[in-house]
Amino acid sequence: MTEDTRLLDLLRSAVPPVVAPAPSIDRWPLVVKRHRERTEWSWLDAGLAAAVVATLLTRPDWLVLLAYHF
Amino acid sequence: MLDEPDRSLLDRFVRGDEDAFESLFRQFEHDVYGWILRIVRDADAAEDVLVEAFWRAYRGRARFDSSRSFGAWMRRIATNAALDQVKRARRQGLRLPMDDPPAPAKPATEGLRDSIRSSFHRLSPKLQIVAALALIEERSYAEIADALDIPIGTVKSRVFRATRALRKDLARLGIRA
Repeated sequence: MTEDTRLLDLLRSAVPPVVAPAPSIDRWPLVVKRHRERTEWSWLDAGLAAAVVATLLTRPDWLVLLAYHF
Repeated sequence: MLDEPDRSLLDRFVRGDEDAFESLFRQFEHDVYGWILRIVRDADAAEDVLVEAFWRAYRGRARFDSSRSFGAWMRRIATNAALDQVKRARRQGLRLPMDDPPAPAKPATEGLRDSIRSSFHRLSPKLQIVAALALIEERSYAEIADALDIPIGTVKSRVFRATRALRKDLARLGIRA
């Protein structure tokens, strides 16, 4: 037995190959749920956006500062 | 890999048609899940990564060229999402439940298996992925290179480095491999 074969045998004995099972549940609803969650605005997002707009309306010169970060 | 879907379905997917996306999900779900599971080696984590991967695909659909292979593109996204999961698990110090083997053909003692498993988990995420796919799952270098979007030479080099690191780590523990 070569050293490589022995290492592979040991490795496969400790971390065996995966037998891919059939899907246990329908995961499509989870994909849709994640899509909706990530595309909806949270209250925090809306609050931050409102704060930025309000700040820029009162201090338009700060737009330069904001633009610097993009 | 699976048969490629027809071009009109892919065009509809790129335009954001959710029905087309669902058809693609149904067609590729099993294949992508199996691939992810081979990398993350934990059924619960693999389910979560599967959802994340398809969500990333939908979010990035505008970048998909419908004249190219959807299966290969999806597998690349899934591999990146799985790599993120391996990194996250490593940061959190998680062990992988599926690493408990049912009945190996050539059984090693439990202590020895634990040591080898620990050495495997000490590999960097990039080396761990190629070790899992090439050494354990016996996937071809070309398939791994395509999924990781790297040259075959890089895969070979990572397999060599992973093997060397495993051997060195096991030698440190007094195990000759």
